[in-house]
Amino acid sequence: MMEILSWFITALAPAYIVYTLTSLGNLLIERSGILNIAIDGFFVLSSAMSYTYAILISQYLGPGELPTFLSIALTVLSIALMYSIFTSLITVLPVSQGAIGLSFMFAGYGLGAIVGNIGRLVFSIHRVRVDYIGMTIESSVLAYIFIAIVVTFIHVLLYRLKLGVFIRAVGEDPRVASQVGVNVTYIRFLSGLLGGSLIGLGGALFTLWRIGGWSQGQGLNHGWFAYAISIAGWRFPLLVAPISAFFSSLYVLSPHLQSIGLPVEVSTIVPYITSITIMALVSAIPKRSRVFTDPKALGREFFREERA
Amino acid sequence: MVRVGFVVTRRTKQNILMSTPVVISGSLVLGLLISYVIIWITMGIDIISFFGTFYQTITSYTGLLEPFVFLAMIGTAITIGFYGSFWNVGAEGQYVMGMLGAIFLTMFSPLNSIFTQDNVLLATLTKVVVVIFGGVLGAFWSLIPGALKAYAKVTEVPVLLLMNYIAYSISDYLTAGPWKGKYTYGYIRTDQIPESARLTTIPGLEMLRYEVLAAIVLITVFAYVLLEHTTLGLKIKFLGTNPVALKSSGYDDKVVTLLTATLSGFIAGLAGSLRLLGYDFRLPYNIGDGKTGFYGYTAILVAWLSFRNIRYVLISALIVASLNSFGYRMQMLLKGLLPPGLSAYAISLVLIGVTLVVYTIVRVLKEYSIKLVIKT
Repeated sequence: MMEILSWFITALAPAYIVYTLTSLGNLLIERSGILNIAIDGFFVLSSAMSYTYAILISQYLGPGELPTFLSIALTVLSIALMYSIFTSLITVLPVSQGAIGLSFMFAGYGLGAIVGNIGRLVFSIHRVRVDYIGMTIESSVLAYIFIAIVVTFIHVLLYRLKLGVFIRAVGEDPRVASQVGVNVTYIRFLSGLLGGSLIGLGGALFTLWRIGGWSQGQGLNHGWFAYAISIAGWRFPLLVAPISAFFSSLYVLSPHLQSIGLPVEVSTIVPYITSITIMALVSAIPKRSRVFTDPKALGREFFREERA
Repeated sequence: MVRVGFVVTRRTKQNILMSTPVVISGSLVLGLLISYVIIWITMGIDIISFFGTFYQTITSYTGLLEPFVFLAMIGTAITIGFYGSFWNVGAEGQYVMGMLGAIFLTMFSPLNSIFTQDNVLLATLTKVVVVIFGGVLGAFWSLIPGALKAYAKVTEVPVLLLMNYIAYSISDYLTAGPWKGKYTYGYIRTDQIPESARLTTIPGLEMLRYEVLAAIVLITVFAYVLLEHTTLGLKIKFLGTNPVALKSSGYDDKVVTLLTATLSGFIAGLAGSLRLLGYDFRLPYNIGDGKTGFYGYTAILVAWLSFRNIRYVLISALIVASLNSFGYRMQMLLKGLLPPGLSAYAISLVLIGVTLVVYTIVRVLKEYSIKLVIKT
């Protein structure tokens, strides 16, 4: 029993940290009123990026912990920058959020394939060895501690700090917020920067820890799983953490359903069906508090008319 | 302190420079240029081979016909959804469901016996039934997210995308299990449908079928009449632009959402069953691995380029078909220059994504003017 438990704890940790961080990033961006349809594209891109960074850096520095850490940091930085451009663009221009999100999603898929294949090419020529993060009990415990810290931080940020009030105000009604003097573009830029860095970190850990390698199309849909988690957790950090634990165990365990006789095609769709069902159930539950409801401005165009 | 801000104002006069054809072709050119810069930075392909390949793609129109008809059909389906704010990114799944419906009726139902007889008229009639059944399955597949959107207020985009993968898996399960063929040379796939169930090739145009041509004309006319000349079309438009007005004039917005989803899925399903009867004849295993040509995804760009306007669907289908073939041609001609594992679709995705972003922004500039203001 102890063996199964310790196996489960180490197997769950990489999935749990990836989905929790990504859904927290999504939560932060959507709380500021931006429909984050692009999440899957950015997730695929960050997954590919971290691989190529890791290959390129390891080629110069040799394998070790430092190149892995550096590639994660670089991925986080790049994705955060891209996300902040994305969120500010949506705020400055009165554009359809769904449309621009879909476009960024497609561009992310394509760029991810190109960027990742560059890493593949370098790998096939130089046979670079990369130190992926190991599935040890120590790294798992560290992961759980890190998740606890991030969840607390996001919760405090959103509900105890001034910046969080601004983020939520901008998400509820950007026009009113801007009339009382909040710089909507700046706040959304910040939430894109913070949320994007969490999503980038999720994507990087997905490649460098959960999978330990890269192949074309990697990460597809996992962004959507994180999206489903944050909706199922009512975009509330303290609720997202346990729901993410449930989803992650499902994704970790679903391949093992084959051993009890389910065909492989059936076991792969279990997470998809569960995600849809839970999203539907959770959205249908009436919510008592404003804290749990969808941000009112989510997906709406922001047009201030003739004000400087 | 220096403050930087943007002043966005609605244009009162239409700018002639910003007319629809200029916006479409301008963003296409700009999108191609930006994609070129991205591809140049990452893979170092020179500008002459990039634009030379593009020129070759658009001048060889015979190769464009097949992607064009399917992109136009699915693009019409998605455009109807877009009119009603139903972001049908699940056309890919509905298309696969159409294929499943077609192969089920022709191979694994009592209708199969009709195709083994020599009755041409009966076979033709049955083909119509088969195609429509594919449409019905597509409609069902899009009705699920439609109902979730209408009654549980779930954002349809993630649901539709996840449904695509469920459709892929169902197809794979059937192909590898109950529907696995006997004459497949060791491949995992279904058997081919009977000769008499296949569509008729137009002599001289190898990539076109009479039935497909008829279908595209019918679908285009239907969609145009529906959206421009019927009450339902008006309601769908209202749902997309002002759902509150629709509700307050006494209509049920939930029902209109369901109808939009159904119609959109139905046409995507039709495209799927036509594809199977006319081109593929069988279902392959791992269908999600590019074996559908990803038309369901690519057609989103068609719908988007067409300004949510049914009149422009055919022309934007042509543009997208050339962008799509461009990706494949790049991969074929520049094999030595590209990373070996890179799929052609990845290049098409960059082209499509970047063009979409540029186009979305240019479209804003059509309606709004934006000034940068710096105060000290």
